[in-house]
Amino acid sequence: MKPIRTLHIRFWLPTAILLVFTLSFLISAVKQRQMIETDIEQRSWNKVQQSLAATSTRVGIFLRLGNRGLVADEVADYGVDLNVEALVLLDDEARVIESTRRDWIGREAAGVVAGFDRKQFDAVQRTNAKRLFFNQDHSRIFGYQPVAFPPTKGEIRSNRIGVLMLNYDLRSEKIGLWGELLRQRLLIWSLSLGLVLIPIWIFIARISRPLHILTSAVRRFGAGDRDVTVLIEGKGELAELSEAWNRMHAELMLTLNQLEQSNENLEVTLFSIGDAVIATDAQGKVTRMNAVAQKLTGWALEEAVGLPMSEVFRIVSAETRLAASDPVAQVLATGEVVGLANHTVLIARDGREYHIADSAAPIRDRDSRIIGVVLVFRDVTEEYALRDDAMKNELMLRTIVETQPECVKLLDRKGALIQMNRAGLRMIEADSLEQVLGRNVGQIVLPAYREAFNDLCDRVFQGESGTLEFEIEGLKGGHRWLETHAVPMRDTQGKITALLGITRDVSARKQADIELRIAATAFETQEGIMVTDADNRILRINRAFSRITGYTEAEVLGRSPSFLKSGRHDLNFYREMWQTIKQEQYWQGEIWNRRKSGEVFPEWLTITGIRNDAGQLVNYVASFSDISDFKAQEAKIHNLAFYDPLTGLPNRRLLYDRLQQSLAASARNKAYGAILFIDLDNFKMINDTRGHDVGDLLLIDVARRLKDCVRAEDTVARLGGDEFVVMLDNLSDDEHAAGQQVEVVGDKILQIFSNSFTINGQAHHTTPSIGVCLYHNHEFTVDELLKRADSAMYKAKQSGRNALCYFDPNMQSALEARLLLEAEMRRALPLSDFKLYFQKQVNDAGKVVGAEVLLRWEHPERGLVPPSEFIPLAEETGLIVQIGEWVLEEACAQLKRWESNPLTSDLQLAVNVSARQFRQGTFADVVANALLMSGADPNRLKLELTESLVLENIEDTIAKMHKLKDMGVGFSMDDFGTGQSSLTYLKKLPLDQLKIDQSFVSDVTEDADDAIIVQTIIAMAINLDLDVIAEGVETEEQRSFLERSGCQVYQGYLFGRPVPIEEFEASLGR
Amino acid sequence: MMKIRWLASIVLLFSAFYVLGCVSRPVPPLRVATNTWSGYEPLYLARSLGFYSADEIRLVEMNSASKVSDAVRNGTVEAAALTLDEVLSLLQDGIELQVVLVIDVSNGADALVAKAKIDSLQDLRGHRVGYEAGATGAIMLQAAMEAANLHPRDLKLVPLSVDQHLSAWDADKIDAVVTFDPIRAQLLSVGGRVLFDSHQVPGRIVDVLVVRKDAMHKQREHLQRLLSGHFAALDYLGKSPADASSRMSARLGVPPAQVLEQYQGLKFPDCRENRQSLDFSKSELRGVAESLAHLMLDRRLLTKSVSVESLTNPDFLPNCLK
Repeated sequence: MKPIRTLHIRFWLPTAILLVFTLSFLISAVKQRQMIETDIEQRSWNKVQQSLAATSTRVGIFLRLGNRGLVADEVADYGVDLNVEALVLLDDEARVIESTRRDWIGREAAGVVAGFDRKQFDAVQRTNAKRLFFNQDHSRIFGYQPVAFPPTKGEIRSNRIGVLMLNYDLRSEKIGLWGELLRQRLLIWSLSLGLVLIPIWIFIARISRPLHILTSAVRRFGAGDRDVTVLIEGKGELAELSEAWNRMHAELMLTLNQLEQSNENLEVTLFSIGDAVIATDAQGKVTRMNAVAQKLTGWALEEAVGLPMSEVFRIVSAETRLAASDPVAQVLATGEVVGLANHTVLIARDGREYHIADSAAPIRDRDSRIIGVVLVFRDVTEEYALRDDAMKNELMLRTIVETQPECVKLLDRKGALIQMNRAGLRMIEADSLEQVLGRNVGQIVLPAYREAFNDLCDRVFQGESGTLEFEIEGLKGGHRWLETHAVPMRDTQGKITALLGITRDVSARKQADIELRIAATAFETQEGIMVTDADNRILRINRAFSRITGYTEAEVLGRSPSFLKSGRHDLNFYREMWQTIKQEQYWQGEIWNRRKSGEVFPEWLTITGIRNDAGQLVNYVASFSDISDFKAQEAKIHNLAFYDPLTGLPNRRLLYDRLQQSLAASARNKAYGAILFIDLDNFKMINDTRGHDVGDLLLIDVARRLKDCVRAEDTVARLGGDEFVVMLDNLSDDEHAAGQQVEVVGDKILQIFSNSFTINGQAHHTTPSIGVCLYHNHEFTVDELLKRADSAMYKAKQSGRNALCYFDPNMQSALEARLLLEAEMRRALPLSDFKLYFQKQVNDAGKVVGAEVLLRWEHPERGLVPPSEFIPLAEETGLIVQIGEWVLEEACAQLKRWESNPLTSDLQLAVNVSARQFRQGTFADVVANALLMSGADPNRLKLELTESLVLENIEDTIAKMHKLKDMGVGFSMDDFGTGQSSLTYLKKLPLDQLKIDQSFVSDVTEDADDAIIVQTIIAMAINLDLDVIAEGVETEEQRSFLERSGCQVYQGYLFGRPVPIEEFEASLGR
Repeated sequence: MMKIRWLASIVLLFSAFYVLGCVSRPVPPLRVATNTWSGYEPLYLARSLGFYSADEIRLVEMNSASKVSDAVRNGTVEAAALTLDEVLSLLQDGIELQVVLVIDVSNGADALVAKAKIDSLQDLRGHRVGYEAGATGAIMLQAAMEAANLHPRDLKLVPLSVDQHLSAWDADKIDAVVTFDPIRAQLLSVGGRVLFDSHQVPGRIVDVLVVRKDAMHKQREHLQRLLSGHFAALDYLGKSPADASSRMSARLGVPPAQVLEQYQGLKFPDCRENRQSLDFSKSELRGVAESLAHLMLDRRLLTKSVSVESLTNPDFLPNCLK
């Protein structure tokens, strides 16, 4: 029940009335004041208005009358009114004409008159109407009243308006207002107050006294005076109250008696209780003790009553022996039931000690006020001992659990944590058990494993045990892998109360697993990997290794990888490689190895040495990738860089390169080289008319044909478009010879273009224009060379295409001369410009035995062309075959003619046979034909072969010779001694005669060596049963020497020069 | 016990309010009327110098002595500066007032000024002479006529209040005039000539400050202030004549230089002299007042005799040696 708030009437009632009165007084005073103020303002306003008006009129009149004095008086009168601050009369220019302050007269109003507002003045001037207004706080009234000025001389009526300005101050009136008001009303106020208060007083008194009586009665009662009744009569409330009090008093007495009674009952009860009970009063003094308490404390009730509890009930802490806190005091202080701390020991009066357990509770009355404390305790010494044991047990168990390195935890049915040891707390990153107690452990399990975890919990609570591996996120965010073994925990009834889990941190193992997996994955890359031990024996390979090399793991384990060696690298290579590995534990590079299939392939190989913690080298790891494709690509790129994609010929770049090298080489070996700049004559036309595809195919064909013209070591390059360059490297070191070599090639090239090119079934013709430039000894740069060749080519084009042109004019003219000669030579044959000359062959008796037939060219313009000029050309061009054939035929015919002349019928004719001729497959037939056609005697015919000729293709030579020998033709070896034939070789040949070369004969009398050689040759010939003839005999001495040496036949200038047939025959007669 | 306490507190409140009411009523300013006369100008100088505040003293500026007299008579002002004769007129009418200060004694300030064409007093015969129809004017005229051996009927007397003197002079309505400063000085500056002045009858024309008896007590402090301010202004006039004269020039309507000239015609009794004068039992002022009363009675300026017994009151003078 909420208590009703009361007030001190004596004080508050009068005060309240006083306050109300005063307040209303003040309020009305304020109101009144406002009214008066307004009234003042209003009255003042009216007064000002009126007086200004009146004054203005009077002043106007006075002015018209011209009486300034009256005006001055009128204005001065205002000075008397204390409310008037100032009154001024202003002219139309706001100058002061008259004023209550005489020192303002004549001055500008704005300067001297306080509060003068020009605007108002002007307004009055404009409107000729008064302006009257309060200032902001209504403390002043300002008035501006127009005054009619009299007309000046000449005016009928004046337009000038003067202004009366009044500054009226209300403050003084207002100021005394308040005080005035208060004083006026004060009397009323106090009177009425008095009138009201007095009766109230009386009234209060009527209430106050009875109340006082009652109060003191109650107080006395409270102090202990039982017998208190109040006698207040009447009908009023107080009488009722008094009545009520009396009744209450009676009841109270009754109750008290009852209380005493129950107290007694309590006593009895207390004594019967088995535990010790001590009761105190509200001050903590002992009021009751039962027998048990008396026994335990050693105090008798009579002695203890009235003593403070702490004396009777001496308790100390069992451990510290310090006084334990007094439970009674605590109860009295807090009003709460207090249980004694554990290990409290009661020290009895005689010193005996008991372990006690107790509690103290407040004794409350019906109103819940504490009237005492009841302390109940008992001897628990025995219990304590038991508990001690139990605690020791528990401590032991706890220690075991806590020191476990694994987490030991208990969960309830819902997965909330009941208990967890230190290891477990660490595992989940909790700072204390309190932090996580009661929380659901599943929360820290990662979502992926949560279901399995919860499932395990459920199963355990159904009686199963199980294990689970799962990952958690600890309270501080750390992730761990855990393996838990969970079993149900049963109580004494066998009911499952909790889940007991033992959990291990397996993060490390898991991590290791992961790493292993990663390593394994890394191992199985595209690259081949091979791990060996320190002795280079293979321990592990990956799949890629097998894929690339073709070897399976079984085939390679334990072996050294040397079976991969391709053989392409020398010992040095491997030695250097291992040296690098030993020094730096690392080697990287390209290596050619051999697959199981035997295929050699390029690898990019990396070898790394692995050291263990001790720093020893324990493994080598080799990783490699098959770079065949890469290399092919490389080659392709190289190709593209250096070769023309269309024709496959070297491109400009490569040509340049090679030219550079060739020039450099030429500088070293002094050999000549040449470049032929070839431009196809009508290629553009073909390209345009037939299309680029055809053009391309044509170029490819041209390229092929050009390549056929040159040696392997020469270069055919495509410069671009239809331009080709042929580089002839390493020609002769003689310019002329080189030139001839070039011409041969040039000719060939011109030749190949004489055949048509068949593209897509259609025949196309194209001819080249060739420009040639020789180079020697790095005298030109590549660019110069090409430029010259280009201009030579251009000349060729200009000369009419399908031609070859030298850059060097000399070369060019030589070429042209040769060409001319060739052409003429061809003509010579049919034109019978060739003639046979004959030179005597004479024996030692001086008899002519025969003649050597020599070819001479009687050119109609040139005359006799030396054989040295045209014979080589004839040999080169192949014309020699035709010419040779003609020579044979003519010789045979001549023989036939001589048969009929006894002078000549014995003569033999020796005909020179060129290599070219002889090499012809049909040579034997040609000779046979000539003999047959002429009908000449084969035995008279001798064919002269050079030693070098004979040396080539010995088998063929011998066969042909035998064939002809069978016919009866004789063979003579010309220029014997200058060749390189061996004697065994000579034996094989069916020779008839040896011709000693004139180089030996010429100085046989001077040079002892040559003399010996000649002699030797003669001797050999004789021994081999061969005839011998000496060539170039010019002196008798030579002849006689030769004769002495055994040579019996001679030829030379001594005996006669080569002469035409007529001269020869003529010379025979002698 | 409680009763007494209550009673006491009520009474306390009561008196508190009362006192509040009382205290908050201030005393209104003392109204002092003067006309424009250089003798009274020190009061205005005092005002200009800030010795008087508008809450204490209001100087009511009137244009003629008669208006001032009327104001005192009607009680529209509490104090006024008047000539002694005017004071006697008021007394005659039963107005209860006292002289609290002798302001000045005319010593040349009052004069008969004539137009240039008149050479001497004797030449006045037959001319028009203006004068203020008050005692001063009468005294002066009488004295002048005596000095010139003239009779009133020898002159054409034109009664003019002082504020008309100048305009009448300008309008040539008069040939000479009995006037006083500042009009006197002004007329001199337009060519007038002094034929006779109060210098020749010293001590006769006295200007005093009077206060109505009914205001005396209430305005006691203001009165004291008024008087001390007057003396302070006189002091200032002596010490800084230049500044003083420039302050006074505006009201007087004459240039500053001439202001000082005018004071040559006046004598200002200081505090001590005032005390002597106002101590009536011994002073000559009494004698002057009595003879003046006679004169006025003769001239019918007064209709009945007045008592000058308690004419003066020195109580408001500031402390100075006796």
